[in-house]
Amino acid sequence: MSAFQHLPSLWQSSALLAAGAGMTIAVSLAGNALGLLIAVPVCLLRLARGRGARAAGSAYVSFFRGVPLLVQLLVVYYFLPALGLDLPPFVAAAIGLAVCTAAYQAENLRGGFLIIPAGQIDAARAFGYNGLQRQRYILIPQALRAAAPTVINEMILILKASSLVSVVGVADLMRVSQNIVARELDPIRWYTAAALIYLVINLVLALLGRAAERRLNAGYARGTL
Amino acid sequence: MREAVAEAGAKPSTPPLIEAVGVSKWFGAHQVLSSVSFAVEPSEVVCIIGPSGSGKSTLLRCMNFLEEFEEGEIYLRGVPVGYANSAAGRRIRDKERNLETLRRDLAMVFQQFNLWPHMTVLDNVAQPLILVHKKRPEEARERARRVLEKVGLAEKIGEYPLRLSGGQQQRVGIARALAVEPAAILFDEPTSSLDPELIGEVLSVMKELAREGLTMVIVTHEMHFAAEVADRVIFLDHGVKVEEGVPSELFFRPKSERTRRFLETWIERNSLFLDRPGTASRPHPAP
Amino acid sequence: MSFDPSLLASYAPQLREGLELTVVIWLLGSALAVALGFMLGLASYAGVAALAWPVRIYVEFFRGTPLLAQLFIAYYGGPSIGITLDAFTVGVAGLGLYGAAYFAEIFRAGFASIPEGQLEAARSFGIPRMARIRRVILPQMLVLVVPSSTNLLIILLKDTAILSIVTVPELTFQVTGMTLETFSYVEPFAALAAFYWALTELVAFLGRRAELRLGGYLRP
Repeated sequence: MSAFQHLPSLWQSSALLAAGAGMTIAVSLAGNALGLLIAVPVCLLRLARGRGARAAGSAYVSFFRGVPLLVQLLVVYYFLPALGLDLPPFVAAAIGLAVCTAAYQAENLRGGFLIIPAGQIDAARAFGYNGLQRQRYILIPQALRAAAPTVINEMILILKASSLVSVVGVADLMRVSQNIVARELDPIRWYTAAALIYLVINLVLALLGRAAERRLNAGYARGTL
Repeated sequence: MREAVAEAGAKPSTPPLIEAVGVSKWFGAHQVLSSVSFAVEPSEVVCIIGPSGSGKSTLLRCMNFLEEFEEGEIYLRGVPVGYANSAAGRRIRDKERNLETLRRDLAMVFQQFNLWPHMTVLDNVAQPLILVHKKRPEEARERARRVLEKVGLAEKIGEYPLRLSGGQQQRVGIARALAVEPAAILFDEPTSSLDPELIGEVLSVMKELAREGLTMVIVTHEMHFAAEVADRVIFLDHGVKVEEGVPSELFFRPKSERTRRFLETWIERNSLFLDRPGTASRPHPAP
Repeated sequence: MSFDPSLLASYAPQLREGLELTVVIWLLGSALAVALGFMLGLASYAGVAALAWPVRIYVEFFRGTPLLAQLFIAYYGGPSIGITLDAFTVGVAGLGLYGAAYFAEIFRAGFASIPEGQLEAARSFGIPRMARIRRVILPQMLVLVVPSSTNLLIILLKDTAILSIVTVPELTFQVTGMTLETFSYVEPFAALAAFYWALTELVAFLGRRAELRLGGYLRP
């Protein structure tokens, strides 16, 4: 680490900022991945035939969309040790992000299913497809493609939302910039720099997202229908 | 219709291919079908006509059990559709698995085509063969290719449905139904969603199929077509089968006042037709 | 993990103040966001050339960066360029500027969704521009924007919690202070979560009522 300390302080701080950005991306990725995993069963609950299952799904979505993310992070951060789980802040933060984004992603996935015209299911039934075949060959392929734009959009939003994990002890971009400001005493420069880094990462992700969408819809040509 | 059923039981002849006996259905408090009965023989073309909301499509969809019905029975080759009678004589809804067996024998062509947009035209036609009729994929695709050629869409097999015109999409729908080699094809207003200039290509495919002896039950507004191609026409109004007969009878000498009134608006707009009564493309059996 | 409910009583005044502040800042910030966002959206829709780039930059910045970063710049960075604002002002202004960027898009889309044919019909009847805006565009646009506006208002309500990080003494700030003194964390934060849940459900309910009242002519 001594080589690091010999660098001019501007370089040191920039390197720290980069590390913070990396942490932000990492915790966002973790939150997104875990969140999608949780979103699938929640979506299934929302689409279930049983009233109880549907109510449970709706309650989950309503709660995790109705409570501020900051409060959710605080609850998760303090609740996990009470369960006997002594997890590092990164993991607690990822879990906090995940259970929150899962509510939004479950709704996005559900939207993908709802958009499929009922007639296609009629046709599948009329030709003798059983329930599993209808899901696997007709519904799921189309639902995923239809939900992709909103799912990707939500994944990009998590990046900004992750700025709150600085509050629960994760050395992300916000926390790192706070540390730098404590030392360098140039808040405008460093906080603006941090903000612009978020902006740039966002723009890059938006471009990637659009490219991914275009590849998914390659053959389709949503004609006049 | 009771006598017809009794007669069928008395004679040791084969039952009709499809038979409806006293079918009634309610949507909540509203009755959409009132004790409808009719039969369809093999190679027959039966057209169901009537005003909007008369229950025509609902009746058709009861035949392959896309819709459930509260009273009456529907038989396919003598086997009851959708409901089995338990030992106590009560009506119990059939298992989904038995319905799938039924649906292998009947195919449907839809007003909105209902093709699956995420698959190519070829796969739309071949997939039911693979998944439901357990054909080998190469065999299924070969059959799909032949059927698509028959409806005139050989060059489109690699296309996605949404790139095709309405008429082309519907012909794919017909190909999909033909490919499974069903006992009968049910057509639910097959041309009602098409632009006028595209209707002809679909109707000519259907006429060809009728000529070849395919059993067809067609709900349609195309009276010309029904008059030309149908062996029998059924007029449904407010869920009641008002009249049934051969086209030359029902269209030109309707027995019921309601039928007459319904046809009036049509005949007025098509007065030319009245001068040429015998223009059917295949001979009707003598009344 | 024992939590003594009687503690709640002793903190009641601070909690009540925090709740009041949450609602006040939310309302003021939202009002600012709606007003500014409306003007930005109108400018965007009307295609005023001189404003195109400034509006675009504004929207991209405030939508592309986290609210927390914006608040830090304003609260901690302000003094170094001579603008020292108290936490409350930073809260209202921060929420308002942030929300305006999102409302701008909602209003722009609302303007754009009025069928062109209606405007053509109004023009061909000789109805002047201001009247066209007041009588044809605005009434319909208001109905169209209610769902997304309600959504955004709920988001802004939730985001008031973030203000606690820049020492705005709203509800989350008060509860956090309480936990630091009582050393009991889970129940207070869980209760806080339940409280926000109830609040946002209430606003959502009112929004749905408003939608129904305003959108009557859309239903057959």
